[in-house]
Amino acid sequence: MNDPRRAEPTTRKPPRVRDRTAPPVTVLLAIAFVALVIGAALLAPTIAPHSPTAGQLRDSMLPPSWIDGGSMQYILGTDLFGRDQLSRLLVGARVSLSVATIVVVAGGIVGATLGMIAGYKGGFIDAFLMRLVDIAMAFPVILIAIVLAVVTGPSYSNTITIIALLIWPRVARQIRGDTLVIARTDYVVYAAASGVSTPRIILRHVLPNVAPTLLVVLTLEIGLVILLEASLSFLGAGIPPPNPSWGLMVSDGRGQVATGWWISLFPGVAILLTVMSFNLIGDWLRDTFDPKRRR
Amino acid sequence: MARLLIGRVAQALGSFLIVTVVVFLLVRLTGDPLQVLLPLDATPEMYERFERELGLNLPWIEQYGRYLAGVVSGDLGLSHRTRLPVAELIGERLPATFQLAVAALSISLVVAIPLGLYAAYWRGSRLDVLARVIAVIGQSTPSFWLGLLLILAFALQLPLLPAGGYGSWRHIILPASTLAWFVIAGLTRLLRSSMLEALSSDYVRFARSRGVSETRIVWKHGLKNAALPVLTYAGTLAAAILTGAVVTETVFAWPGLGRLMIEAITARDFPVVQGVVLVMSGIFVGVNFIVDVLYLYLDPRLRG
Repeated sequence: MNDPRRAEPTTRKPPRVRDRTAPPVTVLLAIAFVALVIGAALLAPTIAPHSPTAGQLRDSMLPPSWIDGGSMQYILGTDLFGRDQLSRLLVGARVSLSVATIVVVAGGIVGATLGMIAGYKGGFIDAFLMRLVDIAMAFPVILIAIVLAVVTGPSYSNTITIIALLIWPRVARQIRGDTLVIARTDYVVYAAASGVSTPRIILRHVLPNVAPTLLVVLTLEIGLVILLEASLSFLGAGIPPPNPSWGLMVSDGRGQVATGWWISLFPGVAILLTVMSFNLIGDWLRDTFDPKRRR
Repeated sequence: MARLLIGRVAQALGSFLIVTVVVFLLVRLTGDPLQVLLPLDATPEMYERFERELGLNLPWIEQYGRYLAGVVSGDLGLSHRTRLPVAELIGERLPATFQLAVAALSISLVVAIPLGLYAAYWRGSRLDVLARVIAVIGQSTPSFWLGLLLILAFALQLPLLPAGGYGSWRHIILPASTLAWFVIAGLTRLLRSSMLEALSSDYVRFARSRGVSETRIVWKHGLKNAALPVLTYAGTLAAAILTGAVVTETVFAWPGLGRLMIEAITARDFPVVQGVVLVMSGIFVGVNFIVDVLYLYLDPRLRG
């Protein structure tokens, strides 16, 4: 460990000025991994060696191919129903990413629109919208999400709706903060004074300026969405079986942790790496757009 | 000050009232509890009798009014399934969740405070790298999966600890560690960045020039000023622990509120679901209220 007294005890190192075009290695790896997952999601139906939902019962509980008793036919092994885990993992990427994409687009549009309106208009509309956001954020909403999911029955569209309801207030709050600053800039004030309509100002002047923040927030939210979907699916309140959601796959392996550790291990690793990659990219984007926050 | 305090109390009560409405409506949106409660061959007469007995035939507003009146007097109704008072069921499970939360929070604070503070102090050191790696991985780990891995490692491969259940102190180690992992990540990250800010501030520079010891600078001047952002985080923390408890309790068969809720949901036991969500939201609103009041006390600018 460095001696703190020798290692500049009184002054902080000036923030390293990174080249915008050269992200650190961790971020490059994260981008590569996300690209891999997106590729898997897009190509899953063609590259998956077996059916993700139908299994061969006589091939039940086979370990991964590099372990004694494993077969090259099933590289990552099979579960209790003899379903190929690699195929389920690949198609699971499709489920996770499609949920994440739809939620982030829907939550992003609603959150950004309301956030910009609240920040630009101020007054009663702002007070009302932000109170709504406070309420939505003030509860352990995942509890309500679980109740709703189970009450309405687990389904793909319910999972998306529920998670989107959790995401939009978080987006709205951030965008409103940025809009407050932009609304006071000269060019916006002049545009308003010269009679440009509100929707036009928001689209032409506010939106381009909040776009970097929006990109950062949404990238960071993707990780959260994937974790939420996995947790809900694990609890039986998200994607219904036999669809291969990663959270559901971990749950499938619960009963066989002792005899079939691979059933839960690989989908968990997939969740961890995917979420981590999005978070690393999001953090890096934030630092790039806002050097003051660089740590 | 008194007016501000009254305002905060009103806000907290308002939030709580909204929770009761949301939960009440949610639970009644779809699904008929009688379909789950009664056998498939139940006669229409039986159906009607139960409907009347449980008050399910009344208009929603009246059902809600009765419910709210009950809540105020501490009566959360009877469980549809077991016919036991909901308050009693929750009372039985509350200590287990409380123990889990306290254990997890203790582990988190013991690990995250020194880690966050010294990561900032020795910025760029190996400890700092470790802290950042923990922060990144911790916030990306699905806790249900981590719980399974811990069971696999410490209960099955090395039979050191029980895989689940409740009883001795040995039962609490795995679930509390699972729950703590996510919290450690968030806290470390937050403490590190607020400590970095504190260390470059004028008062720390001044303290150093007066010859205050480095230990004292980290633990007194640093920690004190890093504490305010952490206080802001306390609300999020309470939510993370409560919701994390639902998942963790499910994995480790821990007989707390979270498991009670999951059990009740599968059985469509409305009063129990309502009760648990209400109690958890109450705890949550309470924590946020305390944080707000502490803020008023600690930050004179807010008193206006």
